[in-house]
Amino acid sequence: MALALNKHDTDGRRYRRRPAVEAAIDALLKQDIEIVCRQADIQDRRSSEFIAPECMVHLIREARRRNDETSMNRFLLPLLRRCEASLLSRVSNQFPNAQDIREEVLGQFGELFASDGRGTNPDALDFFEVRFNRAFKAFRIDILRRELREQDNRKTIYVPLPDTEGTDPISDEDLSKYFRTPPAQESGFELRAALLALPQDEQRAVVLCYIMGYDVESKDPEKRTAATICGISGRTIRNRLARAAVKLSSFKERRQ
Amino acid sequence: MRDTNMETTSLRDAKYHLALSKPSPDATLLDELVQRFPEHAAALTEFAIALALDTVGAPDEEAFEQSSSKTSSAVSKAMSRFQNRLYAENKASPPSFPKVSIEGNPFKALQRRELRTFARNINANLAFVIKLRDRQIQRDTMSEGFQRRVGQELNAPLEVVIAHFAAPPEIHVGLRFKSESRPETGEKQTFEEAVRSSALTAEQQEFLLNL
Repeated sequence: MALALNKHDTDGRRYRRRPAVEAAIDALLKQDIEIVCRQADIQDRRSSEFIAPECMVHLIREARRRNDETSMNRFLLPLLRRCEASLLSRVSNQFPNAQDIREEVLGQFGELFASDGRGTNPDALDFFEVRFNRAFKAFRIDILRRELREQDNRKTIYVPLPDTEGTDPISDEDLSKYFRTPPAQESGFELRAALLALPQDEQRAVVLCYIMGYDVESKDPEKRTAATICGISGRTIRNRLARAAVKLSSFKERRQ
Repeated sequence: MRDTNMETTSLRDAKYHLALSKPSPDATLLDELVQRFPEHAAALTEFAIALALDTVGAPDEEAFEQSSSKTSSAVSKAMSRFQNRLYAENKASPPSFPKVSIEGNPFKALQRRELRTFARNINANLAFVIKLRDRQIQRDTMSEGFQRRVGQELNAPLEVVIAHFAAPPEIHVGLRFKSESRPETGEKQTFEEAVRSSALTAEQQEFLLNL
């Protein structure tokens, strides 16, 4: 049985691995190391011998505890290859210095294993044994945002753009015409690319209202809404949504 | 996320909570976190927006496409950073558990601090580890998985661990006695008795008994 994880969620509950991951780790720990190393190189997810990334993380950490550098290297290398494949699709060349960013993410991820069990955050890798892909996404996005901020502050530090408050307010009903199909339900990377191409203020309004489900505004002053989060009026949020809707509509038309 | 002084553990952990809880963060989840960590409201909101945007048009989780069997320069550089960091970390704090010889007590070289580290690594406490060190537990009541775990954590071969637990109980040489005569060792406990009587939490007990 694998060691329990030490991290707790924000409700104070200890994180746990999924039962299938626990079972797979138990089986791997009983296997001959040479067989496990061979399995670690298998990249085809459909193979019955494919090792889930959560288990790979556990194996590397186990080796780290024993200070078994050979095993660490043998498991970390294929894991980093898998991560690179993900990065190539998620940090595409549309980002400035994409290759540098990918290298930075991979490099920092490798270092996490070297410092596992040490320093001020000794259990940082626990998250990757719970749900590797989601944890890696958070890890990647955090570094990506930091790198972009360092490259060009304008891209990530939000600066509200002047809005025309004088235009007639647009009702929620009118807005819904533009978003009959909520963007979150659209499929494909093209939609994401279209959203990324929006000016940041419009992009923010769309994500808050149509992806995360915030109200545009509320009469309840205690309630967090897109307007309170952005520190602007509900009317301005509606204007931004309307402008975004026009651009996304033309995107939809181009696709059809 | 990188362990930097600029970011506190609570913020870092809250970001992971956002990412792990749902495929894409929504208003309910974010508002709960903001209520709990009002000091991080802005950072969490920005992070949640980036996370939600990233999930649009993508499957629930990262698409880990078929990776190349060749090692790219990016992966080589990452391996190199890992090894450099490993060297630095080991230099700063050498491995706790030196390899033990085939003879002797594999716990013998461990000081109190190292015993505590060992206890943490097997999800137990110092009182329980002292029983292991002093051979107060019947070996034939221990699971093989438990003995294997002890061997892994001590960096000792399994046969050394088995031989240690099978030997008669002993009083640790560093122990001080109030009486003039050395106390005698008592009957060995069963593994379950030892687990139940070492002030371990219910979760620790369940973990050890299921190894």
